[in-house]
Amino acid sequence: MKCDAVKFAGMYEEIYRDLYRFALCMMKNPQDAEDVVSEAVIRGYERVHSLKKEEAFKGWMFTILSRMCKKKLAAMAKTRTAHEAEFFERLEGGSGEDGMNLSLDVRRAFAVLSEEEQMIVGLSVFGGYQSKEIGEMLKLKSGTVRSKRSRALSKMSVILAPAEADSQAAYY
Amino acid sequence: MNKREQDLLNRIKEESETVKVPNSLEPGDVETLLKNRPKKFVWKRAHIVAAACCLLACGLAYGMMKESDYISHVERDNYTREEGESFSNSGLTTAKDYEDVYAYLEERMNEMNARSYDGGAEKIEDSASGDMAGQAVAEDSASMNLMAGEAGEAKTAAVAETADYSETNVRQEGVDEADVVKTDGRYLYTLRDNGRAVAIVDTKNGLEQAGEAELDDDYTIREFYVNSGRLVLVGEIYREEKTRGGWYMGQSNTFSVTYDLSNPKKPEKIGEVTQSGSYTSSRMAEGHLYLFSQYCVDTYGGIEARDTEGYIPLINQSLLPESDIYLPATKQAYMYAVISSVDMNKPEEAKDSKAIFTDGGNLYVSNQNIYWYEDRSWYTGDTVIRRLSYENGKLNAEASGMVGGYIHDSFCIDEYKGNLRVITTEKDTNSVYVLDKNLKVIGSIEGLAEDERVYSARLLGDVGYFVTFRETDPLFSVDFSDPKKPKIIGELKIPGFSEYLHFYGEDMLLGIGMDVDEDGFSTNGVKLSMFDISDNTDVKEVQKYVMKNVYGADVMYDYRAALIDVNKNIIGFSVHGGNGENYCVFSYDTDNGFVCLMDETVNGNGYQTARGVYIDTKLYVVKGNIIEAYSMKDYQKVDDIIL
Repeated sequence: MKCDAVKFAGMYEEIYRDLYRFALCMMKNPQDAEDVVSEAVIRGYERVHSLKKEEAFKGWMFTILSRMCKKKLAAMAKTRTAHEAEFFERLEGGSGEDGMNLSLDVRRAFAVLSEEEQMIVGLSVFGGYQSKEIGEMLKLKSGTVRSKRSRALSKMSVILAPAEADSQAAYY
Repeated sequence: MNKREQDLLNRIKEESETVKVPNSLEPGDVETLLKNRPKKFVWKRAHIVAAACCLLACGLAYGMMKESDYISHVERDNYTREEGESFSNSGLTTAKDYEDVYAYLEERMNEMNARSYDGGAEKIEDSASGDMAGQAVAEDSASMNLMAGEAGEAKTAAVAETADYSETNVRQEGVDEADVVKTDGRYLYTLRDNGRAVAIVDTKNGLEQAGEAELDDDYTIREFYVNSGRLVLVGEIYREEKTRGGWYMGQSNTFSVTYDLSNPKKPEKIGEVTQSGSYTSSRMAEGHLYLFSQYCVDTYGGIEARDTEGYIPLINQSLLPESDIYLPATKQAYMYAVISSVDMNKPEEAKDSKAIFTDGGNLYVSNQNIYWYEDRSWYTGDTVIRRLSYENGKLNAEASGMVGGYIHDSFCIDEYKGNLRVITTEKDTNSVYVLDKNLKVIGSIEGLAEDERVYSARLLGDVGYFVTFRETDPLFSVDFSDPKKPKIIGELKIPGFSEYLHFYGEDMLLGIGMDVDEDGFSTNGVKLSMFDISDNTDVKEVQKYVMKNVYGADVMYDYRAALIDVNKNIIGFSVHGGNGENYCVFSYDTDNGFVCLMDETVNGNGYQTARGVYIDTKLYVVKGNIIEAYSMKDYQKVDDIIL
């Protein structure tokens, strides 16, 4: 596909909020999320010529982004103590200045999931994808995606179950 | 997906709408950035608070997406089994040549190109599951839990275990399974947090590290065996390569690396086998390792017919012959299940290999056979089952068949006296099937427990038990004594559900699951149930124990996480709750019911899951690099080691 910066930005405009939110839930840190989205944008732009149809852009970008998150998280795992400590600090009593803007409940709910589960739930919520498509992105069978999603959601439901009113107060 | 799951997704979405996207990621900035992109790009963060109006736009976009993206289940009914669709031939046909294989991939690529990711055309999946997807197929192909066996043997195993150390909780006696922690009665073996080494710890005089088996950086050990003086590591090698589509994609190969354990201080590497694809599972039986991987062809990046290495599985760097590739049951495919056997006396080579070219599936291994079952319920409403025999490392395709519905997990598929019993969830009901050795259905019961789905099952000789759930938890008893006429002989309704069933001595069946409010919505915690099955037409829940503030236990997803020993009267497993992870041990007797003997924090926050194993009178709780020892007399901590 022929694509210049203007066209790329146009296609990107449709999806960038979801890309960022997905990245935020995966990386758990606004700076890392910002970095990984920007890297995915660059990588996407460099290879956009290999994309056959414009309609596939969103799925393609989510695939690139999810793989980059995975890679980045793996790299971080090697020095993860610091990263994790920071994350839990945020969970426990982050200030309003941390730029997360993500409700505490949602963060807690994501925290109980494995990385793969986070990815599956993230792609369902922010990408709006069905298990078959997620399966292709993550190289899993759709049945596996469905079961993992189901398990992940039942874990999350324990945290997200309390009345809506509580969770509102938890924003910061 | 059921309504509850959908509501959760919606709620997460709504709560995420407050997220501000950094200015630097706004389309205008990105456009400028792309235009002025230097060769070596360095991203500069812009720590400026984004304008609030962006949020409003997000919210609107979400609302619109919600409406269009989730589909009702109505469409599903349009996808029924195709008239005259035959897989009995194709199910076990091998490829004539590589071009045969390529044709399926080409079909796949054509479909992908025709597909719009955003459009409304491709709504098959959740249209299939709209209502039905509450019944998510609980299979863990990618990691674990793939296996089952004859429950009859399982009971024997549970009762007869008199050895002074515990073994991995397997379904099938005689078929070993890999795990992340093992013991041979003296040494403890644990997969380190970094996934690259297995540490060997001597327990003889307190805990002391004796040795270690470590692999290179690009290897990830998923699990391992300690069997007959061999340590066998299994997992995958990950390398990123440039694809034909011009972008980078990780390529995974599955490996088995075998060590001789004559000297546990210095395990000696004696062989390695690799095959294409990421590791899905493995088994060990009669001196042979069976290695399973899932190999996805990069149809995304594009492949070419003449470049066979781009789409034919490699075993130890050699192309798998076409005569060992079974063609799929569907018109198109992009995945292989690759199976190799490795003789433990010749751990450097694959003795036999086969690939089932497919659209994905799961496996179950009995004492003689590997059953590959392929869930197609999302579009045809059925499951294709193929049987491969595996005697002495020699793999042979034997039969192919089909049942309605999907198979929840490997406990729902069970070989007994040459027949295969299968419990499925089909649309809004559940079914029981008996298949003969040619995988033809010879007996069935259909239409059970409307609007519920199977959560767990255990079959023992002529009787099987399974649990379905929506609001209450019916435990069904099935009489299989006449395989042609399976009969429901009992039904017990209780709140909550059991995710894992385990025979606990004579006439007792242990269930581990969740306690659920009568409204069927909120869970109260992890529940232990003991069922009296002495009269299988009148099964009773005789004891129950609910662990409050606990939201899950690994054993519900992976039976290997259970340490259950009837003779020692212990039921051990780790749970997750508000306080993190705890290891719990229970005993059971008729008078006192479940008694909690131990409830201790599991230390360590590594990636590996926790396991409990015992050697003589000590219980070891192992999580990656941390091992804690408890006396089984009073369950007080006596020792620990951080590796």
